[in-house]
Amino acid sequence: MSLLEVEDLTISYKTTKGKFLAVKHLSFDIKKGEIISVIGESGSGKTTMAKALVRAIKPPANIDSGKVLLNGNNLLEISQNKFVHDFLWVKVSYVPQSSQNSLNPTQKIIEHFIDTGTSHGLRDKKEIEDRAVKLLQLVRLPKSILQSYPHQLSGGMKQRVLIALSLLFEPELIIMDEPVTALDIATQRHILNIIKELNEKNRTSIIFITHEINLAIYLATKLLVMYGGELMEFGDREKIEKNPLHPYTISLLSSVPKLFGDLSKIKPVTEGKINSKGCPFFYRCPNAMSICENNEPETYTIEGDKVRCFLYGANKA
Amino acid sequence: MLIKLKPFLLYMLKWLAKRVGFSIITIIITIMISWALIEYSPESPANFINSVLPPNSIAGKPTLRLELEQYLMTLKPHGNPLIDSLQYLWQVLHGNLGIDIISQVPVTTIIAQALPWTVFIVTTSILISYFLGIRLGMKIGYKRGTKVDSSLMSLFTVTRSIPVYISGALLLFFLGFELGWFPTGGAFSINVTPGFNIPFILSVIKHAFLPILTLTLANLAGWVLHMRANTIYTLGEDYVSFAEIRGINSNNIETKYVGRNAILPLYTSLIYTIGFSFGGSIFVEEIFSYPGVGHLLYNAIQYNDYPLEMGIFIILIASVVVGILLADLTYSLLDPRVKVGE
Repeated sequence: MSLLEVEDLTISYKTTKGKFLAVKHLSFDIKKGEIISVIGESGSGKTTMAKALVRAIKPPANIDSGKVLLNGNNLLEISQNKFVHDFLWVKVSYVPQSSQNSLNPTQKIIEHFIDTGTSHGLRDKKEIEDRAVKLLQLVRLPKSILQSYPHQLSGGMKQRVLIALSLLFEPELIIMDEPVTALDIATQRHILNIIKELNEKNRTSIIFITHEINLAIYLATKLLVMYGGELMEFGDREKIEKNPLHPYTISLLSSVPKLFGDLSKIKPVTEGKINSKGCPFFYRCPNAMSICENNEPETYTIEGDKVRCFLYGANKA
Repeated sequence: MLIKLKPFLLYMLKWLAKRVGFSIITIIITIMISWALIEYSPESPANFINSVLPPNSIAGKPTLRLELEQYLMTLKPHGNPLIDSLQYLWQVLHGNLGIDIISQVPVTTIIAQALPWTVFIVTTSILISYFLGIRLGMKIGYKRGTKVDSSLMSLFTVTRSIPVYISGALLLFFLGFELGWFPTGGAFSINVTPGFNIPFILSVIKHAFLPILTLTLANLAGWVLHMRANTIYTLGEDYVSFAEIRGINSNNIETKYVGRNAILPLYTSLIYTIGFSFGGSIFVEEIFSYPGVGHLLYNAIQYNDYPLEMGIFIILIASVVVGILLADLTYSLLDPRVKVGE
C-alpha cells in the first residue's frame, strides 16, 4: 500500500491576466522507503506541488481539485488543528528551498527546535534538546551549534540543521525542496549521502525536488518528470535511466555528458515556450505530431511506467 | 575559560575606551564650534537691550550700552575664536556655564530648573507613542492590503503632516479654553506646594497632559508607518513563511519571528529621539507656556542671550552623542548578528 497518494491535484494562481494553472491533474504515489526525485525546470510546478502536500498553499494560489492521501487520510480535507497536531512534522515534514534564509536570525538554533517541538505537542524542553543533539549527530554537526545563531553557520551547516529539524518527530515522509541547490558540489554530495543514509536506516520516504538530473538520478528509486505543471513520466529510476520513454525525459537524459563515451551524442535541451492547449511540450518536442497541438495526451502505462505522450497511445496519428 | 575570557575582556575594554573617547572628542569639538559661531556672530544682546529699554533710561545712563559691550568683550578676551573657545570649554569643564545676560542668574541654575520638565513631557510622550506605534503598526502590517489598512494609512499620513503648532493650538483652544478641562499654561498650579504630595503630583499631570498629548499624536504616526513597513517586509521573509509551514502557532510567529526582527531598526531611532528630546520641543512648550528647555531656548534666541543658548546646546549635544553611544552599545543585545567590537 502506498504511504502517500496524490490524486488529480490541480493548483492555480490568480493573476491579473486570469487564472494560471501551476499544477495540472497531477497523480502519483510514494511507498514506504522510496525516494522519489521530482525533476523539472523552473516554473514546472515542483515547489507549488510540494507546498500543497504540507498545506502551505496560500492566496493568490489555490488548490482547485485533487486529493492528498497520507495513509488514507485526505490531508486537504481535515481540520487545520488536526493537521498540525497529528500530521504536520509528526508524519510529514518539509525542508524548504531557500535554506540560507529560512532560520530566524534573532533565534538560536535550539530555539528553532523548541518552537517546532512545542507546536506539535512535545512539551518537554529537555526531551526536545536530547532529540536535537541526536539529530545533529545524524547530520554530522557538533551539538555546540545549538547555541549558535544562524549567521554563525555556513550554508551547508544551515541546510543540515534544516534536515535535522525536519526529523524531529521521525516522520514517515520528508519533502525536500531543492535542499542542495545553493551549495558547492562537495557539500552537495555530503548532504545527499546523509539523505540516503536516513532513507536506508529509518525507511523514511523522501520526495526530493530538484532541477538537476544528476542529483535526481543519484538519489532516487523513482523519477517523476514534470513539465508545465503536468506529469510527463513517472516510474522506476533504473528503468527510466536505461530506457526513457517521453521525449522530454529523453532530451533531459541526453543533455548530460558522461565521463566516458561519445560526446557527439550530447544534446542540449531545446528551448521553447509551453503549449497551453494540448501537450505542454509540443513546441519543443522533436517528435511532435499534429494531434499534440490541441489535444491533451492521456496517461499511458507502459510496463509499470506512466507516460503522457501520444507516441505511446493507441490512437496515435 | 578564564584564559579565554581575559583577552576578550581586554579587547572589549579597549573598544569601549575607543568609543567613549571618540564621543568625548565629538562633544568637545561641537561645543567649541558652536561657541565660536555664536560668540563671533554680528548679533549682540546689547542691541536687544537697547531696543527694549525706555529711551529715558538710556538717556539717564548714557554709559549703559558701553558697559554692556565691555562685559560682553570679557567673554572673548583674546579675540581669537580658537583660544577663546578653549577658555570657554575650560570653564564648562568646571561646571561654569556663565551668567545669563538678561536675568543675571547662573545659566546652570536656569537650565537645572527647566530640564526636568522637558525630560518629563518629551520622554513620556516618546515612550507612549513608541510602544503604541509599534503595536498598532504591527497590527496594521498584518492587515496589509485590506480596507482597514488603507484607511488607517491615510489617517496616519494626514496626522503625520499636521505640524505640532497647529494640533497643539487646536487642542489648547478646545480642551483648554473652550471646555476648560485642562489648564492653559505652566507646569503646576500656584495653589499647590511643590514636593512629594498628591495635590502637587495631580496638578503636574493635569498641566502636562495637553503637551504630552500633542507630542504623542505628533510622534505616533511616524512610528506606526515605520513599524507597518517593517512588519510587511519581515512578513515576506523566508524564515516567517518557513515558520508558518512548520505549524508554529501564530502568536509565537508574531512576537518571535515578525516582531522581534521588524523592531530592530526602530530601536536605534528610539534612542536617538530620546537623545534629541533633551533640547525640548520649542513649539509645544511655547504654545502651552510650559517652563521647559524649549521655552528657554526660544527666549534665549530672541534676546541673543549667548550664554544661555550655549548652555542649552551643550545639553543637547551631549545627550545626542551619549544617545548614539548607548544605541551602539546596546544594539547587540537585540540583534545577535551585531557583536560589540565589530
